[in-house]
Amino acid sequence: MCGANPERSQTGDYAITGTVVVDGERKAGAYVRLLDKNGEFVAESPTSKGGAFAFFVAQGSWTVRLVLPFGSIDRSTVVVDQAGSTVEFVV
Amino acid sequence: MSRTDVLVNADWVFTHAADSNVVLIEVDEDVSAYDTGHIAGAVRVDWRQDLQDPVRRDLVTPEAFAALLSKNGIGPDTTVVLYGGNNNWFAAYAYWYFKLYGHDNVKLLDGGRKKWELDGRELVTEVPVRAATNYPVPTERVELRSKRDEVIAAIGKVQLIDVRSPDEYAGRLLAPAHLPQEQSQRPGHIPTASNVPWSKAANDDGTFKTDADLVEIYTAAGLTEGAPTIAYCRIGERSAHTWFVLHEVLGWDNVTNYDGSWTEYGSLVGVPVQIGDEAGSPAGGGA
Repeated sequence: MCGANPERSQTGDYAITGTVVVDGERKAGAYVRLLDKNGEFVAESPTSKGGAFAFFVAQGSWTVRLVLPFGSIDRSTVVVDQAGSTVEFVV
Repeated sequence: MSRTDVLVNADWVFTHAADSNVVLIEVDEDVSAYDTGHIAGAVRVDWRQDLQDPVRRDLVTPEAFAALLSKNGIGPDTTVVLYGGNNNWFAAYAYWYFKLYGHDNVKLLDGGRKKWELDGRELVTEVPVRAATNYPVPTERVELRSKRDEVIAAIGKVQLIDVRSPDEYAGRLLAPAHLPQEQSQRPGHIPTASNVPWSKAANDDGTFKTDADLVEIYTAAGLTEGAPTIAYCRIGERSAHTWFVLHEVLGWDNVTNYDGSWTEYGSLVGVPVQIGDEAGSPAGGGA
């Protein structure tokens, strides 16, 4: 794990985006966390008014976690190119 | 100082709901969050407008701080309970600020707004009206704050703790992943600083971990209780969170917050910078 490899993409180049839908409606203010491939916390953001979230990331494997009152839901995702990745939570 | 002196929970808030000597203050990164709903009786402090000098980059003056508290009906003996979003980042920053300006009767709501919401507790939109006070102009407690020259002099000599995410520390990112990538001129970290992200201290619901867990986290990172310690992040709010943990929850002495943080240090000319995951030597380097 070193930032010296020029072949490696820089964090911030790509994005993981998605939405949270609860009971059929896009949920504002839901808490979504980004974890790295080791399960370490990277960032957290509440969803927007439209239930959306976005994280700037590098290529690689990530986990997006929806924090709920009694537990959480994890979704794994892999970012390979500039299309980024989309993660949807439907609760 | 210990956990029970500085942290309260929802039950405490309910018990003191009618106590006119207790003032709840919401402080959020998203300053509009208050308008969508807040804990009953809470007033808002806007970290940009109320806690940043309107002209230069600095804290507001002691006079402006006294005016802010007076306007919100807070007196020197008022118990202030701070809470906010983002795992209490800005509430912790405000807590540090209150301590810096000598208001010792201040507490943090454990878990902040997130835990309150996750627990399904009520939020209201009614804005309380409190009679103004005449808060005396405070004196800054300089021993709680570090400035850039102290930080430069501390490289290799004082415990420096960078509480940003590993990618920000290593220089792969200039800001948290959920925020626009902007700010400092250079990425990286202050040479010799260890990296203990603020998030290590918090549970998923935003509450602080147990004292035993916290001690384990910071000692495992090589920090020694009692040794002079400077915490920094990007703009000083996440490091206020870690300052709160070390100085207030664990009661470690000699801990300061460098509120200039990376947005200042990473834009200074001629100072050493370290790139990569290693703490580095005082001269900096990497890449």
